[in-house]
Amino acid sequence: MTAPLVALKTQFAGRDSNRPSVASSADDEARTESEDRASTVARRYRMGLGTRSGVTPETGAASQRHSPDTLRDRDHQTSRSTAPRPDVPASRIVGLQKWEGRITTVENDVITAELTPLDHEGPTLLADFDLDLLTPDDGAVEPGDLVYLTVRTVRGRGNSKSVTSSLRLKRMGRWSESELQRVRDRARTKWESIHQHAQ
Amino acid sequence: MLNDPPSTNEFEVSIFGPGKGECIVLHLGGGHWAVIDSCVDQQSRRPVALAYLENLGVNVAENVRLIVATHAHDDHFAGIGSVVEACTSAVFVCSAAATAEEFLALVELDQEAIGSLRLSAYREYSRIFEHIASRPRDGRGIKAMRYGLESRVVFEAGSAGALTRIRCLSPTDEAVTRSRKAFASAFPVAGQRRRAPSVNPNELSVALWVEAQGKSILLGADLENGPAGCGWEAVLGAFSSTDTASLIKVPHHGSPNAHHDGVWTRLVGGSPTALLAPFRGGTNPRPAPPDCLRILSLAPSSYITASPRLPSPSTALKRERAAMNSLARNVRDPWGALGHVRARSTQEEAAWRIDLDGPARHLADVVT
Repeated sequence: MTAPLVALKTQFAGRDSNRPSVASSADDEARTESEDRASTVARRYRMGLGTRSGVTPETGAASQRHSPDTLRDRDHQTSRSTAPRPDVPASRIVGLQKWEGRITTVENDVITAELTPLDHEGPTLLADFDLDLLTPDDGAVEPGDLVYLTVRTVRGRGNSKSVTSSLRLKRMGRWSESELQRVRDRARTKWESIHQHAQ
Repeated sequence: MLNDPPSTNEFEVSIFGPGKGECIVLHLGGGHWAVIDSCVDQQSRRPVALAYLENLGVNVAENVRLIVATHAHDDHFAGIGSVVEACTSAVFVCSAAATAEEFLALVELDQEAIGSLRLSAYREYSRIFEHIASRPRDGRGIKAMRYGLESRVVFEAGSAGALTRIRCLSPTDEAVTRSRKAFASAFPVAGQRRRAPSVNPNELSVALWVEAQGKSILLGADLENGPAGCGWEAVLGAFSSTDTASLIKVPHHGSPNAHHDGVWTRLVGGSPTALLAPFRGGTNPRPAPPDCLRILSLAPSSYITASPRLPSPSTALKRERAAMNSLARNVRDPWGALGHVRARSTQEEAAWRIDLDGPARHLADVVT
């Protein structure tokens, strides 16, 4: 039992140390309060005290008393059942779709790209994007540049969902002289081969 | 798909086009076929020329005699590598500029930069050149490839009175020189950011004059009006024929930069039949309404493989639009369903018989 409780403590300790001095939202306040209750439960269990209601973290069985202590017990049960589980992150990616494409035109601050789905079945499409979405390290965005479009669906607390998307250039590095010479040499070899078969 | 084969003495001109892409299949008579450019059916993912010919029961390995790649725009050569590989008896013709070392360097650069063949704009050319290099000469010693250059005859069969001939009207020497310079300028220097090359000059297009079954037709590819020493002005200066074309494949999807009055007055006869495929891939779909009116005034018998307007979005497109979120705007599928205009005529007939399939229609039907 020690290891999970240590991990639980570590995680809450981490959260305590990172907790802002003033809760930034009602959600933050509720989360802070729940963490305090869960921490109390964990400490009492480690001390062998169990909970006042006799509920163990494993069984979750409820007490039948209705004294003020019971109300506190019910609070513990409630806080135990609603306390954030350490194995579940606060928000998680529940959907991810990607397309890869090639820029076909750059005109009037608008990019047109031909996009093909990378990770699902779908047609090849054309789409327009604002030019300022892309910021190459240097030089301008030009036809022939390759791009990735990524759309992420994130599920947060309270079952909320948000969708974010991004467009980025594929980083392909820069040409070296040796690479370009290799290309020229292959082109020459191909030219000689073709012209043996052409008239 | 229209699946009744032509009779032996019928001259057929079939043009295929989804919203982006163009392919022409010719029956020259006597069971001999030619394929000009290539596009892919978005549903079957097959080159339409192969699908059409195999559907007619044509032995493509034996009966396709010529394949022409008019220029290096991907809406004209998608799937052409598969066509070349399947049609093992065909001579392959491409613009002389596309066999220049400067162009081949861009083909190699494209593969080096992209890696993934799926995104490579020049992968078809790369595939063709490798295939050509591996093909032996035929029994007559004829090489597998010919350079497309003005005034060059790339196919000839039969004899006087029953002659079949395909002649290149372009590119001119000047156009080849200009193209080579453009290719050379597009080659990067060390330290430049790696990207796929994107140089596609239309002046290297191969326009064709085809004579078969006593008729002449003009296939305009994407040839434009200039610049000086190139394009239609140069064609008119170098070529003339005692016969005028009774059918024209309108150049460059009806775009005004490819319209030359001299073509219609000197090369094309009165009351011609005009065929074209639209282009929806750019910011200005072609043919635009003024283009349609111009073409109809010159050829009332004009047909187009599909509307230049974007089709209603499919379920798949709607799904992708929703998935792409708000970052992507104007998400569209420019290709759409495949249309087919088929024109057939015999030596005894004056006019062309037209059959339409899919979204193909009379050009007047797309003018609003």
